[in-house]
Amino acid sequence: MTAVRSFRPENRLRSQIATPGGVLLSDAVAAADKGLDSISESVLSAVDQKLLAIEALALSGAQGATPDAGDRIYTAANEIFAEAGAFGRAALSEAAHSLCSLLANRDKEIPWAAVTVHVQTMRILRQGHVEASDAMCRAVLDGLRKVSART
Amino acid sequence: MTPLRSYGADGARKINLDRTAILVMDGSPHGLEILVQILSGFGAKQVERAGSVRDAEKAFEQRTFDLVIADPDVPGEDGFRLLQRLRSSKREPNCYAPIILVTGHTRLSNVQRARDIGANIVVAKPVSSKVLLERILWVASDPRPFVEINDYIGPDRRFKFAGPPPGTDGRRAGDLPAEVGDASTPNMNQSEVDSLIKPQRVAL
Repeated sequence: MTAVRSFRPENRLRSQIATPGGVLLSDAVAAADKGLDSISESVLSAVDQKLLAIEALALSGAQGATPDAGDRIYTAANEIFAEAGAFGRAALSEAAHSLCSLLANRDKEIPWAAVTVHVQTMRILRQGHVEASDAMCRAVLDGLRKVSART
Repeated sequence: MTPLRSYGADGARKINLDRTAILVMDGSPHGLEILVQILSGFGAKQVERAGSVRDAEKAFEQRTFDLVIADPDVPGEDGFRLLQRLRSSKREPNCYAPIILVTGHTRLSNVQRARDIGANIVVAKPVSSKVLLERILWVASDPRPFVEINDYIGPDRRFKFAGPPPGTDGRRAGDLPAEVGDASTPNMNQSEVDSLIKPQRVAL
């Protein structure tokens, strides 16, 4: 049987966070959220650019023109999942996560028709009047789930 | 996971990251910016950004870090291997720095790797400031020892100690057999038990 070495290295973070000074936990969260607000516009604008890139890749991927289109779409969708979600765009984030799940299995052939539906859904979810309505977001996501279930 | 209010978020509990050197790695510039903004809000002043495995490797060679927050899924590179190499590098103190893994959608093949690279905890994206603060406070007080076995080095992966596997005596020096043997000394009598809990006058 293999032997295990067990030891306790110094955790410097433990002593540092407890040193006098610093910020109240509630103030720390508020300041972090304020910092996030300051970059929300630029990040969401980048999300829109990534959506456009995915759309173009889906088109060329389906025609066989871009061999690594699946991987590139996966990466961009994963970024949209994290970045839209960090700014409260939960529905868009969920749709992007669903696209990642669709592409995660590299052994299977990419279902381009389902990819296209995901791209169109994400474009719809990014429209102002849809983003502002929970009921519309739910309805759009319900439709997407049905497509995913059939794939 | 311990909610933030248990750390005293409603009261006067503070966090001081003034002197904490933090390495943040994320393959997406915007993902990196989100983490940096959150940490800056927490008062962190020494945040090093790494947009690639190469950047992170260079930073580990040049500086000492007290905390690593990394999304190992860097396109075209192997962030998992980087973190595993860091743990086994024996380059102190960086090899023992607490690691918070931040992961987006994770391919099945990477789920086990995330567990086995020696990270202290995994945080699922999308990241919120409240959750990240909770996890930082948690890793700062992580009570688990480090273990080194075969190709794993990092915090003990057992969050809950349930004893050694059935039929074995365990592999750690502190492991006790699951079955309790016969007493090696006589039982205490009642008066000895009473004396343990009876208040007694102490001469000062």
